[in-house]
Amino acid sequence: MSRSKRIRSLSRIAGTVLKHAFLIIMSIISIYPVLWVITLALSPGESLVTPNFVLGFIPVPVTPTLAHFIAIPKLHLLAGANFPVWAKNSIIITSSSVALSVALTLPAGYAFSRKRFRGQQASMFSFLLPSMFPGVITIIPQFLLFSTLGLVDTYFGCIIPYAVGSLSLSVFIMKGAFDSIPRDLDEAASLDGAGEMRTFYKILLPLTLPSIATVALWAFMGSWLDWALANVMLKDNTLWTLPLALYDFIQPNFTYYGSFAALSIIMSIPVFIVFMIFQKYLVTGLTAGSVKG
Amino acid sequence: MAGVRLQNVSKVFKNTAAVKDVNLDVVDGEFLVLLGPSGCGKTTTLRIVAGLEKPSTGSVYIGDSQVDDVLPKDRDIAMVFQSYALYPHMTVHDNLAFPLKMRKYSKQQIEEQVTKTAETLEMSNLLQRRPKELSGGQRQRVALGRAIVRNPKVFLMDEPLSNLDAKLRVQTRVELKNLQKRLGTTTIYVTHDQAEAMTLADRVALMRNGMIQQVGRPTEVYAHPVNKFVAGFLGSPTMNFVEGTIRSTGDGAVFDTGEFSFPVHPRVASVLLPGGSKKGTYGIRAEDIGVGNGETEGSAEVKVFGSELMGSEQFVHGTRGKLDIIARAPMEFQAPIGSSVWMNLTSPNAHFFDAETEMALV
Repeated sequence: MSRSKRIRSLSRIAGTVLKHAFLIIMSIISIYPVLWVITLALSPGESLVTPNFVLGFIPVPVTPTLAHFIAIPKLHLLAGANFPVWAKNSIIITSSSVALSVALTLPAGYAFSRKRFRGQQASMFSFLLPSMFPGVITIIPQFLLFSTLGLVDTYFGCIIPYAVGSLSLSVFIMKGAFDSIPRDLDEAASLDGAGEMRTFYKILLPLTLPSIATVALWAFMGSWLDWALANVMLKDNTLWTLPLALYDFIQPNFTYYGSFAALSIIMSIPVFIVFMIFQKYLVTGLTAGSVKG
Repeated sequence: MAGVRLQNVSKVFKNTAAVKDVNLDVVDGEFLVLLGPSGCGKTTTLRIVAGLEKPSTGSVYIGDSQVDDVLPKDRDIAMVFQSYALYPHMTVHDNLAFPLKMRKYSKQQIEEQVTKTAETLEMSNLLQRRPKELSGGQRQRVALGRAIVRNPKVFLMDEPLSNLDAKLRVQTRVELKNLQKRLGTTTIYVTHDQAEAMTLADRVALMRNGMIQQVGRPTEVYAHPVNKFVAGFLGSPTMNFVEGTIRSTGDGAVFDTGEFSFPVHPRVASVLLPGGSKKGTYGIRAEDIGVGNGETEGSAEVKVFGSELMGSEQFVHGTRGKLDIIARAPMEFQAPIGSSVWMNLTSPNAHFFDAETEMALV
């Protein structure tokens, strides 16, 4: 091997090593807190314990136990409410807001993509407007409005803001998705005898599934993990969602770290599952081969 | 089956007139080709027939009924798109079945029709594939299949062959023509390719700037173009155009280019009154020019600057002054670049176009 060749292959190896070193460090930074949460959840007691350290830095519980996980379904911090109730609330509110969000996004995205109407630009801009401000500043006005409407301490007090809040991004995602489907397909369907609704359901919807999945995921994350709005809208602890219950483990004079960590993990399971299910939609491009590119 | 009639159809897009006062009568069972350069309004005209565009003025008739207020889905026409517009999430079978399902055919009818169509187009083995798993030619056939599967009154085709490679295009052209004759379905076919128009059409309608220039059988339009545009658009190589003046002489007439002059055939001379003269364009096709290595009476000397060998024949490109002239010669004709050849431009098939209106006078 010539000298220059050897230098070239050495520098290529060095480059690979550096790249991987960087990726490993970044992975550790993101996974490390998760390891701590798992360790806390599997350790007995509620206080911050000192775990064992494998390799000097990886936390592992000293005496692993599933006690926290077993205890959570029977958890009764406050009278009249427990984990099953909170989980049910979370599921109802999240699934309703996802459904409502998708139901509102699809026609809006379709109209912005396929129709021409007066004030189109302005109304598209109005969808973007809310995302120019931090969401938190709308909580007080929303609370005042919803209390006038009598929606505070109801599921709707959360469902409506969650669904509508996700629209500003979702409508744009769906408009883009519909835009990417050639008009020829709509026209071919109309000549084949399909009306507008059937064209929408039979042609456009199946082809935009990946984007619909993205929209649903976005709405899901927005409501499943929200604490701020729920904290304002839901005073009655029988209406609480899981994030509110989770926050309740942090008391003024004591934090139940063990239970907190265990519930965090339980709450993240649906997120994990949803991502696994939607993953294939998030990556496939279904329009391949439709029209000659 | 039904004919199609367009009556004073115009279409204006934001102050631009795409189609201007088009009158067209497509006879039942006819293969009519709308031919013209891009932007001439031919696709817009087709889309008006389909109902995808609403005409600004005028009416469309399919059969005896006026269809201006009939939705595309209710017009009973099928269209083949340039992009094919296959439904990417459906198999070939489902693509073919879609128009039947939309029209509420029974399951059994659907299966029969799909099977029959697939056999007609020789793609029975492709039924379970999706569009992305097909080659360009196969996609084109599926698009065609989706059109013929339900026996519509009219086929509309928007440059359906333009995405195929040259060889496949020629082959498909012949198949398409046969298929149309067998089915006997009225067809309106849009293309910018004059060779396609000549081979496919029962009649050609040439369009330019939104207006129909001439409608007629391909041979008729080729031999008797009504104006300079039509003359130049049809035929390959393009008709030779020579600017100048036609002038009466004692025993006939000559055409004077300013550079040289040559006698014209009495048929062409008939545009003149005795003793008169007229400015205009002399048009002659490559195959109507006699070409030789020696001077003959009435021929003009030109310098050869190139020749295209086509196989059995060649096209000799000659130049004289500012003029370029292309003439057809047998394959074995010797015309080295830079040499001189003599071209005889006197032909009974030549044309003379008015200098101002560009209309053909003969």
